[in-house]
Amino acid sequence: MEIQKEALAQVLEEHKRKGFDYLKKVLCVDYQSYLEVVYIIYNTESKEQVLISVKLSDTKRPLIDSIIHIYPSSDWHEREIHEMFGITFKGREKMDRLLLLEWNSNDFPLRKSFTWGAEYNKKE
Amino acid sequence: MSIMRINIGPIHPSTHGLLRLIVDVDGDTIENIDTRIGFLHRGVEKLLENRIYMQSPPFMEKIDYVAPMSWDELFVATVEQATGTEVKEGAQYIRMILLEFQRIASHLLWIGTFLNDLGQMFTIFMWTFRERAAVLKLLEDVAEGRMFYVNFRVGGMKSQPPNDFVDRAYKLVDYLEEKVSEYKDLIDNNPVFMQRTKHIGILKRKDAVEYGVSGPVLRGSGIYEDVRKSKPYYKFDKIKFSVPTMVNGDVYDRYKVRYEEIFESIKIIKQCLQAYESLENKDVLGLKIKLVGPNAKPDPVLVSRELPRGEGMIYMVPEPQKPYRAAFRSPSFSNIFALKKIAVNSKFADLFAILGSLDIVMPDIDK
Repeated sequence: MEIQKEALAQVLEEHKRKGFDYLKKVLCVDYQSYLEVVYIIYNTESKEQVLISVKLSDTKRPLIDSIIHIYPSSDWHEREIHEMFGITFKGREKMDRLLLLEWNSNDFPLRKSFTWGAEYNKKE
Repeated sequence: MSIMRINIGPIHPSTHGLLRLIVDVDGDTIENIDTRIGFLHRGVEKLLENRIYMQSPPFMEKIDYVAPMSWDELFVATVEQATGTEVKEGAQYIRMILLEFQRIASHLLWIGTFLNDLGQMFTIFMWTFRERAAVLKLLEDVAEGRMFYVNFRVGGMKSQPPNDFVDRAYKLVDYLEEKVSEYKDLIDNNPVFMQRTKHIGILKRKDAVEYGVSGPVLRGSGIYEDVRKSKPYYKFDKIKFSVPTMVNGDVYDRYKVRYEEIFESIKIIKQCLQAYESLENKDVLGLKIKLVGPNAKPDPVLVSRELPRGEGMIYMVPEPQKPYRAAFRSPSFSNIFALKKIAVNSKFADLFAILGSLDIVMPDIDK
């Protein structure tokens, strides 16, 4: 199900009220002309699963609402997406690095524009 | 009393991998935990984007070195769904048998190392490793690899199982059933074990859902959730087995769920062996690895599997011959996230009992 990014919090809250209480994963795909963030939510009673996707057309400064107040488990997923894709999540505290501990570059490794070894070559 | 900050690690607790915890304690009560991960990050998701499909299974297995087959199978199943390849019936049964054996091997290793975490050094460990070695011997003879197997191919398996496979598997499950039953005397009847696990590290039902834990941790908190039941794959809908759940959500319950799961896996294996034996066509061979394999359709695919540690998931946007993007949901990642929730307000001495009970494998978290 594809929705507008402004409606994200509202749609997720509605789903949570309907029993979709479990967030399985937040992931991101870089389609170059836009970024897509996919939320996989699950109903532990009825065993239904819903995918909610949001397109972000601004790839230079992508911005999306944080959903940490709806699903606390999205915390680390958001931090991971932040360092891998450079998406900023609005409405939460500053995000520390999660997986890339010694990463000094401003490149985002899972973006398609990322070039292998660029950081290493710079040092040489 | 003032708060003291204790740095733990980066260390390698038991077999779990490299992890760092920064713990604030008030006396010996934990006030806050900062979990630092990422020491084993290898960028597997990025690596996949630069390799053709069947180049990837060897390092997919390294995501979880305790149960390598399960991640390997998950990836191959994703490729099968993307390319629209049917898995041969015989291969479906063989896969189920091997995956359940892998689950048993993983749980056995966990029981041994968990008791080590509790300070019961190496007695149970030697027992569980004796049984695990028997399982690994069978897997080795089927897959021709001791620790890593890479024996799944698109549409089936790498090779036919050996002629005596069914007989040996029957003997092995009988052996396992007898030996694993014996653990009860040493574990459940042990007052020290019970004191260190009962009512320790409680994760309530509501919190378990909210924090997104999965697998035995979720079931230990009383939620009936198993991908093999809720979204059956292969022939799991035809197999009779139950999903053990507990009520309290403490360390003991998480142990008990895994312990009971071993017997459920044995039930599954027995039924699969029977079904495989009665098949007329026992052919299990999959496609040979070639430079150009079958083309994948461009629609994104999402595949879930019940891995030994919880629900594993791959969301893949395919290109014809390699993934455009593959994102993993790894069970340990969500489980260790809940550590802070579980361990705050516990005693510092219980921290490693709680950490052990989550059954984490760090490469699974760090990817």
